[in-house]
Amino acid sequence: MRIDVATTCVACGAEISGGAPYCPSCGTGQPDQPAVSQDPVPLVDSRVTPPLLPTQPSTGNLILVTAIIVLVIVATVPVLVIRSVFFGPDDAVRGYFNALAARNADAAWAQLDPGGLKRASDPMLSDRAVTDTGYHPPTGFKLVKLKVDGADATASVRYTVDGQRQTEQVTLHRGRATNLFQRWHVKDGLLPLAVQVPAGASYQLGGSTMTGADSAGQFAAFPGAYRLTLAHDPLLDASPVTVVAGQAQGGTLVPRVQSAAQDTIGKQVKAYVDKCATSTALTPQGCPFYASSYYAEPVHWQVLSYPTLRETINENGQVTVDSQAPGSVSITGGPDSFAPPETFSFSVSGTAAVSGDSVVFTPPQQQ
Amino acid sequence: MTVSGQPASPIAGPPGVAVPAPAHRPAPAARPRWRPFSQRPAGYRTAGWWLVAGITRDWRGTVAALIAAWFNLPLAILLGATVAVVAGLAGAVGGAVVASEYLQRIPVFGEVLSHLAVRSGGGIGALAGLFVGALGGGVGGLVLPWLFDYLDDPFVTGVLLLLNVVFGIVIGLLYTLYGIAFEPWRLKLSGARVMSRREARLLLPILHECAQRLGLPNVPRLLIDDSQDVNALAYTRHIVLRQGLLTVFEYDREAIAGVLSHELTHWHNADGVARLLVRGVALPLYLAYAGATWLLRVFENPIIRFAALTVGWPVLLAVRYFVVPMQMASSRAAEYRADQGAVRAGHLTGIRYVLEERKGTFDGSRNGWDEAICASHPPLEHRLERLEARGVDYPLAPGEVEA
Repeated sequence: MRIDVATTCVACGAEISGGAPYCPSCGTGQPDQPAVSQDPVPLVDSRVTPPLLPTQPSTGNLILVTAIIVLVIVATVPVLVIRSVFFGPDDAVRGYFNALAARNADAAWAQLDPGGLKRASDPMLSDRAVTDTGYHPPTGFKLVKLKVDGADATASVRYTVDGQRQTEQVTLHRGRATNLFQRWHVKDGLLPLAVQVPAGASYQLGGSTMTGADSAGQFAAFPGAYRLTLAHDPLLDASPVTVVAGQAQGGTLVPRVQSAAQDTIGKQVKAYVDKCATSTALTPQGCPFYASSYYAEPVHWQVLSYPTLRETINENGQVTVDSQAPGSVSITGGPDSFAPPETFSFSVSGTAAVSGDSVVFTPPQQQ
Repeated sequence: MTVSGQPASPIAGPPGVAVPAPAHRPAPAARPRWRPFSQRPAGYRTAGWWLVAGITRDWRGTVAALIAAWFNLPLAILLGATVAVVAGLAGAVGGAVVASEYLQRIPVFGEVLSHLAVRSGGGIGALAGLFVGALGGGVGGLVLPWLFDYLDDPFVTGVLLLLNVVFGIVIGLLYTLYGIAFEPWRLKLSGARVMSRREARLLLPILHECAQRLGLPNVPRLLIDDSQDVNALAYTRHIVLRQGLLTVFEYDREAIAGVLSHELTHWHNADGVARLLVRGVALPLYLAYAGATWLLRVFENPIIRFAALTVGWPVLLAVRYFVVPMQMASSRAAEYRADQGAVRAGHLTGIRYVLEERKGTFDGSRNGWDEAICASHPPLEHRLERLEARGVDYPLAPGEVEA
């Protein structure tokens, strides 16, 4: 290093070496002492690259990056916004009850998480169930509270069914997407519906006619009130019952024997007794009365009064007929009889059933 | 460390040309108030342009860092290796059985052949098992984490994948901003110091001269690190000269000018910003990597080392065999560019001198993964090859007479 006379920098006035080409403190070049250096020299290697890279990104790169960003935003943000604004858990539960109020079973089903239920085979989930005039959908729906916990949500809802105010907890789940937007579904939107009907009887519920193998029916049904009636029957009838889905007691059809059927049974019993009275035997075959051997055949039977009948429905759903008050019959013996004419009381029993379109009374086979 | 006793004699080159010194933007004499982007290369229109240019320098490294750190590469490695071993064993057994059964049907030679086949069939089965297992396990490791929760909604899976990319880049950007803004303190903590008055008197004029000849309107802050490595490093706003470099080259102006113009090119090209971004994007992985390597370095206890390796090997593999190689490929390109910067500044002689000297001070062997693939710098001889002036002969051995 050369040590020589000190001088001052032309720019900042700092004391610098007289031989310095630049000021050490401010870097300004010193006109009296130009730097000695070399010019760039041509190189042998052809692979040399320009050392200094451009100081702004290329337009192509900028356009590419901007296009990617815009594309990503356009492809995702609208879907996310639509999902959160129109397809949240509140929308699912509201959509469900609105669809029921509009009696649209398809739309209601679309908001449900079926959880293994098959709609096609279930009459209570069909369109008929909610379009039936006997169905009263929930009205005045109000979402009272919604608690979202990750992929699960609980909604407290209030609605009116058939004039009764109902408060329910509905759970929702965010799961498999049914379309690009909808992921929340109502998990327990279907409510239990219990009916109690005469065994083997056909009844109508939710627009469908069903036949219960046993006397209790249990369904999963859309919320609302349903009318339960007995299907048309010449023997029995029952007052229609309103069943509200979700209520523990369910609906019970109390059957009774139709009065027209009672008349028919009365006539048939009369004809049966009359037919028995035409017999000249001591013990007419299959008949409700007989006499001892003090009387000699041919005897003469005469019906003095008919029994008052009572029809009851047993636990198997059969209609049994018995006598509330007995009837009476007189017997007059033949010429060889030891006994004078006498009066007996008798009772009739049997069953009544439907055969074809008519009611048929059947006495017991053996007396 | 070997210190060269050679005088700072310039190697043959074109004669020097006097250049009039232009007025340069003055370097601040006193430390100014904290400005996070001060002394960045002034050629960029704004600090934003500088950052954008820097972070778009190394696509390869950034993508590698994203995949490795945010897309379960270590898990893919773990699963791939585990499944490969299991499938390889199964393939060995299965292949042997199948080959033996098939060949035994051949009359006369069947039995002999089948005995042979037990070995070769097993080998083929093992190879097939290894290959299929590694592929299946690797792909499974990459894909499985995305399938657990979101299989029911491909849209959400897609959004999460994108968010992962965005998140990784945001982390990388934040790390880059932190690295730039706190560079003075980071360097101070790493041992760099401000130049002394006499160091400044020697080095600053050289720095300014190089910058001026490169056409750079300003210079970064120059710091000295007192370690004895023969090295110099360009950061985003600083150049650090190691004391070892100055000592070995005995403060030779031409050598210093060659090194400084090389580092100035790095600084101007925002190579430091690119490096910060890649490191930032791979931050979770780098932290795990740093933790594992620290344990391995510090502890001699075999149990701790075994535990560190057992837990950390997928991370070590992901960094060493994926991120670093991808990043270093562009780093080596940047080195060639920086060497050309020295040529542009007229310091071909200086940079050649330094590279020739370093050949003597370092073990130049490059066999092995670390040296060949993970090297941040190209081989010195290759760098020298690209720094040969036309019409000049460069003998390999010192005593060799040129033809």
